[in-house]
Amino acid sequence: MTAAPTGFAAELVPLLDRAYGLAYSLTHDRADAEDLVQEAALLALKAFGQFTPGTNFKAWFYRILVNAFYGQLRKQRRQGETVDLENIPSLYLYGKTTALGLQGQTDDPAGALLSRLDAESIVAALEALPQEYRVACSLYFIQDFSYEEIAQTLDVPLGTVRSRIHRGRKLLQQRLWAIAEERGIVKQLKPQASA
Amino acid sequence: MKLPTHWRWPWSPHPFDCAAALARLDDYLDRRLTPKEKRLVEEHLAVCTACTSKYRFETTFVAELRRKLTRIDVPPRLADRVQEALRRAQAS
Repeated sequence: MTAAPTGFAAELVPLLDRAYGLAYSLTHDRADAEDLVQEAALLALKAFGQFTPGTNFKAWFYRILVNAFYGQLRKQRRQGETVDLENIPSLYLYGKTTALGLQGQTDDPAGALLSRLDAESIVAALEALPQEYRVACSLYFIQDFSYEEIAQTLDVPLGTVRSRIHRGRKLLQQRLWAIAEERGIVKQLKPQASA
Repeated sequence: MKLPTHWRWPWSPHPFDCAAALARLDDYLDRRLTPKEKRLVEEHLAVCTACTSKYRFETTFVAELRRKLTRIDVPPRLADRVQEALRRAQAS
């Protein structure tokens, strides 16, 4: 039996929980997320000789995970959906909660809305994003990666990351508002007219 | 009298108007502003309740989303399963 590569497990195991969070936000399926993490771990083991010690193992491993996810999508021949980003205004949720009258009702309208949405709803909203936005936003929100780390992980320029996060956040806000409307949350939040 | 959107008092000590402050919102959220830019944004926010409310909303939005998404339940035996798969791969 070959000995484990020095440091590989020690580097990998602490990342597994967060890696699962990322995989789940990409696949939105618990079994698929577990399989994706395992596949990425095996691919990373195979490629560990190419990893430069002292560089960012986390970004390196997540790049493998994201590429494995893209590979699965290619096999399933799933095409990224096209979305119209131009018609979504900036500060979408802010505008919606202001129009609802929530800004005058509470000091924390964002908290008031998001406290009523569970993690599953947020993952569902993330899943509805086109792939490239979903991946960048998952790294940004789940891993708390900086733009530089996301650029390093996805091997894209910093400007591309900035644009994907900006647009992804707009789209995410639009989806979350739609979910809140579907579930009657917007209705619950609507300030009651005083008698 | 309606003032143009980008108008500001000519003697204003704050070179940032609302448009300039909002253009830096993404970088503010990602903690990418230079100390000077951060100071200028904060000076603007100190005198502009409309921008303060937008900045506070977006900051809370990002923080709440992160808080919720890091609470995704991880399968209890995930680490064991992965380590077992790695052992098998090394043995073969």
